Amino acid sequence: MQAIRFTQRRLRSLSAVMAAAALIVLAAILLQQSLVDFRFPSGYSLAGMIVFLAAFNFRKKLPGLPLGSSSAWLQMHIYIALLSIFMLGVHISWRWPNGAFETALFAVYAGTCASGVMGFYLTRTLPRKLNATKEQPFFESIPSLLAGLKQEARDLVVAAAAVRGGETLANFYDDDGAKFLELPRGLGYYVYPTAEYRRQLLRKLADLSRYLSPEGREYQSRLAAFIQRKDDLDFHYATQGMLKMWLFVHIPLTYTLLLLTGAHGVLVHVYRGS
Amino acid sequence: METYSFMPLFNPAPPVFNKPDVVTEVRGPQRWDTPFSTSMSKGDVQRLLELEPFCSMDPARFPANCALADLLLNDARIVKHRQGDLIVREGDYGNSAFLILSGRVRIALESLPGNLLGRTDRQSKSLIKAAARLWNRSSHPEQRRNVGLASPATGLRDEGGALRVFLQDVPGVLQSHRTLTLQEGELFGELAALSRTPRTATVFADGDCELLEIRWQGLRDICRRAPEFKAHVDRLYRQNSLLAHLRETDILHGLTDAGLQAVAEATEFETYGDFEWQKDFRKQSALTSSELFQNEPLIVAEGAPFDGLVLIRSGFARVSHAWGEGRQTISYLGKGGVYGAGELLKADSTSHVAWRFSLSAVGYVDVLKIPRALCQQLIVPSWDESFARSIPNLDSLLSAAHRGKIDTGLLEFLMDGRFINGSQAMVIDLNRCTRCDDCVRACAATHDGNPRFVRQGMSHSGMLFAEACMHCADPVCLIGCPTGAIAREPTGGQVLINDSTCIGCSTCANSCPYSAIRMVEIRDEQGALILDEAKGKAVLKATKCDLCVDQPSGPACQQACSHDALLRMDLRDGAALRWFKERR
Repeated sequence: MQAIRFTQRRLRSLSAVMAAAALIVLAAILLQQSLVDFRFPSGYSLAGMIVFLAAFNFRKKLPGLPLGSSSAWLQMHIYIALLSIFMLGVHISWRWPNGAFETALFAVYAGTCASGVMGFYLTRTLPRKLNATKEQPFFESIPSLLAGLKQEARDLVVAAAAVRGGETLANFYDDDGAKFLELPRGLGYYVYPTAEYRRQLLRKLADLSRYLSPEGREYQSRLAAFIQRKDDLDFHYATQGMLKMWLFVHIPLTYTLLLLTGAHGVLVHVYRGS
Repeated sequence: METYSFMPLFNPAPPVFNKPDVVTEVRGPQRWDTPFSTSMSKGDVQRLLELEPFCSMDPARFPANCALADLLLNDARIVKHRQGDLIVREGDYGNSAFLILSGRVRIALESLPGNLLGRTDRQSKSLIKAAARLWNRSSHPEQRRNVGLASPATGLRDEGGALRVFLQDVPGVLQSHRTLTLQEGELFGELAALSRTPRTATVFADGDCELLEIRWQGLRDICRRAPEFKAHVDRLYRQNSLLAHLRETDILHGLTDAGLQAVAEATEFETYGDFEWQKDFRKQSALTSSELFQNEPLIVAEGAPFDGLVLIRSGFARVSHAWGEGRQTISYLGKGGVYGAGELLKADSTSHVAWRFSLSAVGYVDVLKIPRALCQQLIVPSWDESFARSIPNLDSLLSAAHRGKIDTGLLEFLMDGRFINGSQAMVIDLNRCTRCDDCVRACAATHDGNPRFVRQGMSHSGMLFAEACMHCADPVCLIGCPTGAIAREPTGGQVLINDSTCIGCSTCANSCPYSAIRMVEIRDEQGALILDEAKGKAVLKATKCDLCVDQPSGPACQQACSHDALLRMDLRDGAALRWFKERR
């Protein structure tokens, strides 16, 4: 049993990264004093780091082999990525890149890093929000759950219309409820899901209480529960989608970075003499 | 990002419509509605009553509603075996004992190889094989290349509707293994049946024989009513395993051999709860926590005079105390657990000490009771100071529970759901799980494309207890497997199914209280269903998590989780669970 707290692990890893960074600086000073061009060893090290970082995706595709746990790989992925930023700074002597190829390479590296940081933030913050909902649906099952909910809501409103004062609920559904319960959310919601729409709708629905009979209020409560559930399912769909989608940015950028890094290495060696 | 609020404005409960008071009267279920066998006749019972040990039992000791003749009629059956038939296998969990009526049987005095018992001798896959498997995945779900009994050492035959697995080469087995012959009138299997412990030896028929199989309910009642029979069973237990159990008990570590012997002589055996608790467990899920508690038989009652130490031999017990209008769970004890040490510390030979908490049976519990006088005379003096200090202080335990230092809600969830049974439960931290399903994919990749668990289940305190085999401490799925296909690994303790000897009877899947075993229809290499030629139906196999026992990496699900969200853990280990919950 790994009896270590995440805070302890974070401190240890950050200390290791700082120690490694100090060693890199020391090595750079010593090599420069020996008149060795530090850009070559730092470039090879950086390329090695990038290959290692990209290898995490291959590790995930090889379950069952004794290659270390994915958790250990992710920890190394995070902290070696952090170290690679420092190594890149040393490699390019802390200046802005120039030239089309160098700028493109830097931009892809920056994009890969930024998408990784975004992914890290999302994976560490969104699960807690997902867990706050009552239902924990599978991503793949959400469309069918939404379809079932839509049908149930319609049936409920039809049944509600038959009771005294129930047409109020039918009107509410027609004007506002159907749009929320039957249609997918706008694109903005999938980027930034909020509960504001649900709150507005529930407020409107609550305002109808004074026009409803006791039986009608029972239907009102059930409709409110449907709105709540639809919002939860939408939230799960958007949030779980985000947790999957960021990889569709990060991984293609990683492959592009690998290709450009390889090309950069070839070009450097070809033009080394000049 | 905006804080996401989930406060409902309305009560989402469905409308309640009044229903007229209609009362339906039915005859309540009776004990012998489902007898052990329908083939037992009154003539058979009469014949049995003339044989030992039944003819020596005093019929007057049995009440009218539980007469010896009725017990034999409903809780016993006569079974016939032929040469080589396996009657019980070492490691099996049995719920019945056997009396030899005619013929003879052999007990193997040493372990028989796994292939003779319907099991496979598992070996960890080599790295190359494990890697090759990732590219050689079957193109159809649940595809099998070989179907049928894998071992030529055993055969399968039908004996009046009951399946019998038999050894093909009995002389060979007798030549290479030491055995003991049991003759007419001898009893075997009673300890495993009464104490829910694995069978300690394999027994097979040596020629044609006729046995009386008595299920545990009948056996328990006979023990209650026939003192000489109970004395016989107790004597066997004292001879065979009590001393070993006492030696492994921490609280008795300071006793000398003579002291242990004295404790063994004075120890009383008691059994609480329902041996087959799993049968009603699913029905009980609708009950509230307090209703569940009311159904649990009390082993000791809070406030009653302290009368000695209680040692848990098997099963689980709940430690609770009265709190408000209900009861609060303080802790739980499993096999090897000891209750009463705190009270014993307070007691001296004259003072009145009461039990501070109640101890109740969760499901089925087998306990040993060591009388108070003996505890004070032998056990307390054997404790050194540091050991006495390590015994939990009852007052501080109670205070911790009241101040919320013990997560009693989680404890009650684990008890009520019987998750405490899990020795390798799959627990997922929902506050870290990104729902990426890497765990499910890894499981599928290591099991020929077929995941062996579902990432869903009951949750509490942000932890999901997934529907994956927990490799239980009390593996009720092992009871009743006709071919011994499901068994516990002798070394690692994992509960595994041998696919080639599984006959798809679903006994294990129906017994598992956690829905962790799934019956699947198997397919051939072309993807067509494999049919049983006799029944014309698809051949079924029981499948479940095998904890990746043959993978060089260990459990692939845990290894695949990048976010430290999934862990296989022993839920009897409260410290590990607390660490998992609080590791921030």
